[in-house]
Amino acid sequence: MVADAGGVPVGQTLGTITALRPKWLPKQTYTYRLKLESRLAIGDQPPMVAFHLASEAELQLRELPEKSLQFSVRLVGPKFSGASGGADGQFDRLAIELEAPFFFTLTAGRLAEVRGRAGASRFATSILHTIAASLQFRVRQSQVFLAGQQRKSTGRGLTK
Amino acid sequence: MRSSPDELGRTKQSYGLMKLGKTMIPGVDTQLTTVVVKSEGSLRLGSVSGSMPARDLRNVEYSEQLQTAMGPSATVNSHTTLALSLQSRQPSPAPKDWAAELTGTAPLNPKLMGASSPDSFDAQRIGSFTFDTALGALETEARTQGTTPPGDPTSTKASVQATSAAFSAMAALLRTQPVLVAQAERRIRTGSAAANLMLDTLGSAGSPQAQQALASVMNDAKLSEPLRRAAAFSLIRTPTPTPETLQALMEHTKGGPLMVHALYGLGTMSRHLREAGATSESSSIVRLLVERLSEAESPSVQVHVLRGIANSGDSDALQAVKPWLGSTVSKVKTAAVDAIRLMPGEAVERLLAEQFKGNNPEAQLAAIDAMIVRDPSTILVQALAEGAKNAEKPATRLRAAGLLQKWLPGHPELLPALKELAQNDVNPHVREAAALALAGKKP
Repeated sequence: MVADAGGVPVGQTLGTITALRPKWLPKQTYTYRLKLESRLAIGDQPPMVAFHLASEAELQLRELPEKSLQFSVRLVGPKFSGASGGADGQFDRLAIELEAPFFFTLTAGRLAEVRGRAGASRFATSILHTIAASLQFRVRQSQVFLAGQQRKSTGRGLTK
Repeated sequence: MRSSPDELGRTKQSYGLMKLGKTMIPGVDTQLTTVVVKSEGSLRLGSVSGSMPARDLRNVEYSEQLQTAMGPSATVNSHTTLALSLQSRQPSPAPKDWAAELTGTAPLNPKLMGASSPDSFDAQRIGSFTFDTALGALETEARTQGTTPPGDPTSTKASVQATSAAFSAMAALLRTQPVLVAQAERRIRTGSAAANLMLDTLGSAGSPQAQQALASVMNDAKLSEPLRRAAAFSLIRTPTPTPETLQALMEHTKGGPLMVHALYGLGTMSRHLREAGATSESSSIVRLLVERLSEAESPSVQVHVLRGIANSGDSDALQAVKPWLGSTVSKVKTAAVDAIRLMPGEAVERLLAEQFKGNNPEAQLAAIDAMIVRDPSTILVQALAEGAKNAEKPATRLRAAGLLQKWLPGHPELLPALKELAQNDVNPHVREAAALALAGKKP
């Protein structure tokens, strides 16, 4: 969800994916073509915000401990088209802002961190999160303990 | 969900708390729950250059529609599509200086940005409610709880809607008018019938002032323990804890009636903070939990600290937890297995495999629960294949049957283990569940 500028929360869960997963190689530069479209509307009203973003994206990565991969991403020539909503010149400024490199870390396939220029706008942050989250590959249901909880020896999992 | 040998389907099933952005809707900045209306996509693997390995991520495509309730009547709909297609993969021209490039960057996290400032949608939530009318509605609900005649769905639904509206309005009032937080705290302290609901509205408001009020109630030894526990329970669910909130909870980790809330809550907060990029705060919590583990004298305290660590899922605590996997006290050993289940890494997988194939029935059960939430690594697949039939408890073998079914499509080597349970298990329920799993049905 980009158009609401909320980005993809790191806590989201994705559907189960098989063990087949991409092989990422360090010391390589991956060049992708990126297209991102998003629109946001209240109810059935016309969109408050809509845009198309096209860019090249250069990815490099390194391995970190504990099944973590850190990616460096540079958007090359990001361009907005069909943009509506937002303040005057906002999308032009955003395009410039998006040219700054950003980094994200996948731990065991899941998005663990996104880093970028300090003071990045919320809109840029949202877009960068969306791009990073699109490369996630795993599911982990976070089962946590709550006060008063006990393990059930029948049924599934832990219940309150 | 593999749709072809090199293509994976992907579906988003749920969405965490999120914020709407000021840049999109001026003045908006709030936490919302979003429902996935539709989500579909695919990932395609293959070699862009035709060379090995043929597991480059060539294409990512997804499309999703989300809906966020902004109040009783307003919903925000969003539609996003993303496509990434690999153009080339080439050796990088020069070694990258990661440390230098990371200098000057900061965690980018929508969840932590500008928490709890007033927002225009709160106005919709508040509607015509005032503090007094919202409180009145919540108190009426609290007094009538359990008095609705059973089998009266109409009045139950109306009651839930009325309470929900009042609750949302009160949380929005507390968030947008911090001065009301003191008033809310006063009503809680003076025995409002809706004291527990009011604590929850403070938790939902999530503002620093609301957290401070919850901590104040939690720490007031003159108040009843149930009320203090309720305050603690609301406080530990706040998604954006302030440093003061963390400190307040840390002070309860040494003992007392709120120790369990503090340990479990801090563990969860640690994980959320780490996922949000606040690694320093997260690590300091985990260090504290490890310290408490080393000081824990009774088995029950050891169990609680281990569960706090479990909630953190932080592999920095692995070395501290490992010795407890060998505990002779079953519940401590089991809690140690729980403690590592969300930690990443092969070392953890080996430990889980060892526990699953070990001879402690409770630890076997904890291990299968851990395996259920992990990926089917070679180590875990092998452990499941070897250990399923020998697990002591029927409940463990039942869960093993479910996991065998889940992992089977990608790991046909698990088929004999599932057949073994279906044909030879001593427990008829396990046999039935495994047979259903073999037939591709849910047990």
